[in-house]
Amino acid sequence: MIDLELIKQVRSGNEEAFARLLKHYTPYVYRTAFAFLHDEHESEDVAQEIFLKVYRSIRELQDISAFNAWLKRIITNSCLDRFRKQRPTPVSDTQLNLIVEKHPEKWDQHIEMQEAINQLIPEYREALILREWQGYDYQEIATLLSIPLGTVKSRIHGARVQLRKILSE
Amino acid sequence: MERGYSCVKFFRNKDEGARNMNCSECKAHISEFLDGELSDLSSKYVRKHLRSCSGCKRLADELSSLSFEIEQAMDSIQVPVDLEERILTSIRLEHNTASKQIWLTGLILIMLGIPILALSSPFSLSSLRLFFKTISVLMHTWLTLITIAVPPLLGLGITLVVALLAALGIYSLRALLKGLQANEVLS
Repeated sequence: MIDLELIKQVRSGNEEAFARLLKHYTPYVYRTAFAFLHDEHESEDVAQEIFLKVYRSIRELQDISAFNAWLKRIITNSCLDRFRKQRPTPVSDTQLNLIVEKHPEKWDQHIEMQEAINQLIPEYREALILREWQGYDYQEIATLLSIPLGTVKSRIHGARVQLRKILSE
Repeated sequence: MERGYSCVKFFRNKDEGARNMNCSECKAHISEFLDGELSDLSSKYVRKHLRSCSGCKRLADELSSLSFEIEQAMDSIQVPVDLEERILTSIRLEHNTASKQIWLTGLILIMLGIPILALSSPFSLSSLRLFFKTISVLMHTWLTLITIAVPPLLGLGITLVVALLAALGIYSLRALLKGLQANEVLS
């Protein structure tokens, strides 16, 4: 959790404070983008776009205690927006190698899971990531995706059942 | 608020507690149950079914560990080492470009504005005079009409309402422009 003093410093134009904020949030932003897009270059591009939006508009944020919710919404909207424009792409070799080098014993199960999520139909994938990784509740997901609550329930359950099936194959 | 509609229907239609929830009903609500999206009453009946059904219990355990594995898989995504630096560099670049553009636009406006002002100064002065004269005539007409047509207190009231409406209009316009900016960021 980031402290409010840092947000105040960022709003006053302190570049060092912005660099600290960037360091704190980059892993989450990149991982969220990668979860949706499954493509390194696209994920980097979206991460850059998100921080640029933050840099340009943080002074317009009325209540700084709502910074986390505000940032999360920017991340989600940017990722969903890009996800809908993107065509499906397989995981790159570079990404595979990076994971294998760091966790040789676990790489196969993590990659297997990432690949399985990537095989889900887009509607299931976005609902599952919003729930499992971003922690939104069903009502928030319904609002974000502009779909009825009942559809959210069936998509999340359908995604889990399909994911389980893919993993067991 | 009751969220699991069909679950509620199930409990309303049957004698509560008289019969257990069956497996297909339990499976239909298992994700909502695990995500804490069911009401207390509905959760109670799903829990009761899970205690007595090993198949549904196994499914619940599997889906529950699936959530944990998804989180772990996401956490294992490797972030490029120099990503922060690259983002920071691009932001600095954008900041410098924006600053340069502001200065350049200001300079061009001044350079264009001086000759235009110099050439059109007699016209500008007469336009200003016309503007102030129009305002003064409008004010005079308004005050005369108010004084003649309506009692003084009502006249004052109408003037205040008009001023208030004008202030509200300006404020709404500002809020609208701010809202547009905010929507652009969040979209």
